[in-house]
Amino acid sequence: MTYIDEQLNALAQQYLRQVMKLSPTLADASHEKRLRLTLETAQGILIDTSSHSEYFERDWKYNLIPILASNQADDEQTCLFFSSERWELLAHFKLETLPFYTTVSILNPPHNEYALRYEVQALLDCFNRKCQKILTDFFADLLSENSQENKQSSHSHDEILIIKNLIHFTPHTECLALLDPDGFVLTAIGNDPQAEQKAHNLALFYYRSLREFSLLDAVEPIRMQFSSNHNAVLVGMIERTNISLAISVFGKNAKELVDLLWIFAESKLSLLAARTAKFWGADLEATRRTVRIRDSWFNPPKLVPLAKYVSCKGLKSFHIPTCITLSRSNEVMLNWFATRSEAIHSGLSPCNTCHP
Amino acid sequence: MNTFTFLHNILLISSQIEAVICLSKDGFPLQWRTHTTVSVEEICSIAATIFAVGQDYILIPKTDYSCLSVLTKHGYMVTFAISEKVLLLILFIGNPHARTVQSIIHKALTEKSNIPELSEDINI
Repeated sequence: MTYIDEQLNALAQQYLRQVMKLSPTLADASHEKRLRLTLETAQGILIDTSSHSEYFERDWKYNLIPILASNQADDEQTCLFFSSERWELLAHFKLETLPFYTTVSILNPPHNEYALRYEVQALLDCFNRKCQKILTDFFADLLSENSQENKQSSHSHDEILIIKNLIHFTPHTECLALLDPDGFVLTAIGNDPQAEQKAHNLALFYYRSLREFSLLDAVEPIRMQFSSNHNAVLVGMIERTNISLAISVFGKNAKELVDLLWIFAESKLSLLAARTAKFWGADLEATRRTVRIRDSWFNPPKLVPLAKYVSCKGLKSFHIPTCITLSRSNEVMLNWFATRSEAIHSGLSPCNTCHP
Repeated sequence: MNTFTFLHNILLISSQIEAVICLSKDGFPLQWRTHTTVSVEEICSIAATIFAVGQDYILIPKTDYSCLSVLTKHGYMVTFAISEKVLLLILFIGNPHARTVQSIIHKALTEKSNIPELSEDINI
């Protein structure tokens, strides 16, 4: 079985070898390691053919990717940069809502060889389309039962199927686990022989972290990532469910890989939950609308104004949504009024604090 | 450069940064720069606790570089070890671009060598 990141690496190396057929100038650049192909996400580099990355300073490239990222168009785009010191061609495609960027870079490019730029652009275009195909097929197959391993084992949940297929992205995945709200492991799969023990450790880490965050009023972590030199861990709640997913990856690109695996898994699992209204065999409760938000880590949360005036059951006054007397009231006890006269007609009087 | 200037320079990088706090690994705030006058003890204690819990449960050596990132509905929190005994905590409003966060971490780790109080090295 060939993992997806190994396929992408092999593809990039294959294209580097094939540049010799395009032009001798590109072949020289490849031989002298001045030519570089990369595949990256918004979180960082996934595939990099250069073994001399210190020669390719990437600080300036922050100006190119945000330009592509800020453009909301769904069609594919390319950014071209040509200078006497380097050529950098950057292409972009989207997989669901996740952007991927492929680049071809040449350091100390040949002068006055303008026709070569078209060949480099063609190289980028081919590499970009091939990467897009591999990733799109993998993402589409996450719910597939066609793999040999899945045929041999029985499973009662589509959620396990998604996670089992996700293992096939990279051999560096130590552990993928689903956790319940109390911090227990529902299922754990991984390439590491101690995947279950690692899953238990991640569950304890998540449970203790949630307990710490509960000290900050209305601050609920969506996702927590812990990364070091050699490994990265990501734990977070799956949207529309109360189940958490924990991923542990080791290696040089651990941080980028764990982000990518999370996005793949979370989008499929939350889509499954939305479609079936079930998760792990249990019915999902309808999610409550958020009525309190914060615009600062230090200020208390504020009510989201659903209408102009609000009153609390049990009180005889009506208020504006930002009134301090409502800061601790339970949102299910609130009544909303569009106009002042409506509130007065229901027998309420204006608040003496906020003077609505 | 002193720690105050170092923190102030980081605060000015992005308008999304609400606070930059230097704290000990025990959770005590050492110095901070924020846009308003706020109490930082609680959030420092929480960040340091989760950081220590993460290092213990994920079995990361204390001398290795490690970084904790937490995304919540209203903001993003980044805590990373800037030296063996000191953490740097950066609070963002909203969800910043990943490259903004990476560039801030890179800048902090580069400039900390100019600050005598943060001179202990960690393995990066």
